[in-house]
Amino acid sequence: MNERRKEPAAASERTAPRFLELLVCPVTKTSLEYDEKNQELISRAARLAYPIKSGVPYLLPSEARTLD
Amino acid sequence: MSEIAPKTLVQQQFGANAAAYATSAVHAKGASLARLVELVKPGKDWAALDIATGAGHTALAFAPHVREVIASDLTPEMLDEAAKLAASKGYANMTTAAADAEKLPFPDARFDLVTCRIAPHHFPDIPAFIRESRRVLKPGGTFALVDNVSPDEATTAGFPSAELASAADAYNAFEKKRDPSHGRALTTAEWTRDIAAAGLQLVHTEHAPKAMDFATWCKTMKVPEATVVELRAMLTGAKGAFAAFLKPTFDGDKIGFTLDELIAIARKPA
Repeated sequence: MNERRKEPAAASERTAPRFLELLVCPVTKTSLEYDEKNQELISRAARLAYPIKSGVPYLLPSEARTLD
Repeated sequence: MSEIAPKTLVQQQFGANAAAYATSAVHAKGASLARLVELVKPGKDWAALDIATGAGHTALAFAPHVREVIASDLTPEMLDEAAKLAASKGYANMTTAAADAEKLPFPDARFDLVTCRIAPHHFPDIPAFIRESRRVLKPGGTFALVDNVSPDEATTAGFPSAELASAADAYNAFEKKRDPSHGRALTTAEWTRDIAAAGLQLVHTEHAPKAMDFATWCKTMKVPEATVVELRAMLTGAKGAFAAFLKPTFDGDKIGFTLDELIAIARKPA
């Protein structure tokens, strides 16, 4: 499960809203993975998934789902 | 008390009153907003971040002058209002993100400008907010702040310091009675100290007195009538430095008072 998943650059550029690239995890300040299907931004370092609702990212630890 | 409580209060208070803030004359047209743009002199290629944007008035004031603006707020309902206002004005270079001013979700040295207007008095940890602002600013970047201040020598000269300190406490109690999500409005001296402590260089400060209509001020936050009565009594009973600061006026049923906004511009060392 520790295997790093890498999506083709072209696909993520096509699907990720442009500004998501500038966001980092508010807790660890590390980069986030965009999960298009679940509309979440994943912080592996903090083990948190931040929701995107109606296109607006919620980068609040209080709103995040804890990853197993 | 749990440490999340103040932020939950802010979300409840502004979530319920989001639309009122979108149409608030003080927040949309406050003289300090035009003055802030004038003082900052934004560059066409700048990336700007507006922290605790509320209904987005400050982000929208800068949007026509810069390349991009991120409008962030703790309260998602406020961001909906901000996005609606941006769409109605046709500004496509503004995006929104729900974020905590003390834990910003942006990388180091990302922005040319960080603004925050009439909001830090809600923040539980203002030094953490200034440190985060400094972190996300590029070297040489601009930090532009407007907030209501408490009385001290800078606003209300000629009183003993102990009386000014009591007046500052009385002013914060007055604000907190009207809006439970009010934390503490710093004094000008405290802002100067905290900005320097965070490693920013203060380049300009000025004060903008703001005439308030008591009835409108209560209505914006849907203050219950019993609380309105208490607030009115605080104004009629104001004495000494507290009265000299708020300058209450009584004209029949019409009550007015004056708040003081500090405008501060600081730079991250290059």
